[in-house]
Amino acid sequence: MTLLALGRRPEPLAPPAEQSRGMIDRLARFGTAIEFYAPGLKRWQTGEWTPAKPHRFVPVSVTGTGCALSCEHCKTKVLDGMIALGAHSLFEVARGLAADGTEGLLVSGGSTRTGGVPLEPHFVDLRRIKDELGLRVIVHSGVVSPRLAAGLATAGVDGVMLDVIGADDTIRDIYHLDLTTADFECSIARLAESRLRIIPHIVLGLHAGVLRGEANALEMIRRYPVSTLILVVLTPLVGTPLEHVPPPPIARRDRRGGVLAPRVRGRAPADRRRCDRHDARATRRGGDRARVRDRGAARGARALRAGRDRRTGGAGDRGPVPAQE
Amino acid sequence: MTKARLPVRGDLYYDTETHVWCELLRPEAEPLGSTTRGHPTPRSVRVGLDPLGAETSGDIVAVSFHPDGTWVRRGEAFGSLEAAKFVGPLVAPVSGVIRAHNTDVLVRPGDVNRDPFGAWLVELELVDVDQLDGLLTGEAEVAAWFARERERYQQKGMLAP
Repeated sequence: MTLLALGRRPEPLAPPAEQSRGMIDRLARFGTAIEFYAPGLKRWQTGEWTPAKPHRFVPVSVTGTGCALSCEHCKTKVLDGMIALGAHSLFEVARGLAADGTEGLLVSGGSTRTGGVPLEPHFVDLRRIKDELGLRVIVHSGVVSPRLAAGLATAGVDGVMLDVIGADDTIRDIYHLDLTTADFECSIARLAESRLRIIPHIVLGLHAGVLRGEANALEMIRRYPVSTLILVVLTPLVGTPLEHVPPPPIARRDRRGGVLAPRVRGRAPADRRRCDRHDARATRRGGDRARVRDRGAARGARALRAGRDRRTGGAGDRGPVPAQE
Repeated sequence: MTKARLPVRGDLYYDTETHVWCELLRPEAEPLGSTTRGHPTPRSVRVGLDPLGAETSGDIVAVSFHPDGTWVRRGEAFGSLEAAKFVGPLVAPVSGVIRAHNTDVLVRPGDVNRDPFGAWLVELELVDVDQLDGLLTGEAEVAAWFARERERYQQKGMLAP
């Protein structure tokens, strides 16, 4: 949906001399049209607008509501809104949806303990959904192994979405994963090497409402052939530890009022050898990953409590915020 | 998703498209301390979301209503709802004037998930009580419809078997 498509004539633009540099850049790259998309995890409707095909693109979870990580910002709540496979195969579910008019699928699911969505058992079905049903297929991958990247490429999926996290403590404390930013960069590198369309997501304020690794995530993504970037503003979900965190600040400003730009570190993209070396080091490091994950979860809970106390003057949980009429 | 063991009430009137229920109020049914601006008449109905509507919407985080005194037609919004799986209007099952709204669910919208039949939303004063004839009612009919709807949602993966 575009504003222009709604039949509104755009307001005349200010002369170039009066436009900000950002606006000039924006117009040069994207023109005057803005396209709006509503996330498919919810049904959206207003008094004036009802979706013509609410099931055109639907999310499917290959794990139902199961997830080994149960991250602080989600606690599997996001999976609630997805279609579960139940006793059926992914292909059978897709065939039923296609018969009801569905044109595309987001194949998602909870994570394994190593941070990936278990898509391997569904590679054949993904290929069949493309070939026999002609559906558009986007997947949520999580952390990408070489095998997952190769399998998705063979399946011919139309795109791979993954959260890119640019801070080690966010990976540990929010995601409860014994990984580092290098693992996420290697995920992008492996997808790029397999020539898959990469659709990275950066969740702004993921670290309990605080901007932490977002700029670094942007820099990680910049090194690879990415045509679409999704910026997600953290939406605190009811029933999660982040339920009451305030949204992240709109912009960080320096003393003169200027917006602080992210620090850009010139670094070459990760290649297969670098990722392989990283994996080997991680394997040598070994250790009890569950213990590390539990430590991370405990540290995350402490950090969240401390942050909440700072914001509330030590009052702790404020309870639900009354809804406004 | 939670288990789809949902209660059914056959004495209410249901809009089968929107999963909104109506309960015909009589003067003696008016609770003490009600937030109503007048007294409910025999032509007033209490309106709420049924258990399948609440369950398939997910955790409800906010509701809002048009002001008391607003005239709404059947099929038009009398308020809006934001939940984990749905954001959109609350659609009136009958035409009428909003005479009262439940202030408790404004503060605790999750009550609709916990007790869909107890956590009513608004009361509408009807101009024509015969409108209720267009809605589904009766123990057997409602139970059969609930079972069909539950199966349909389960087949779509929106409810746990």
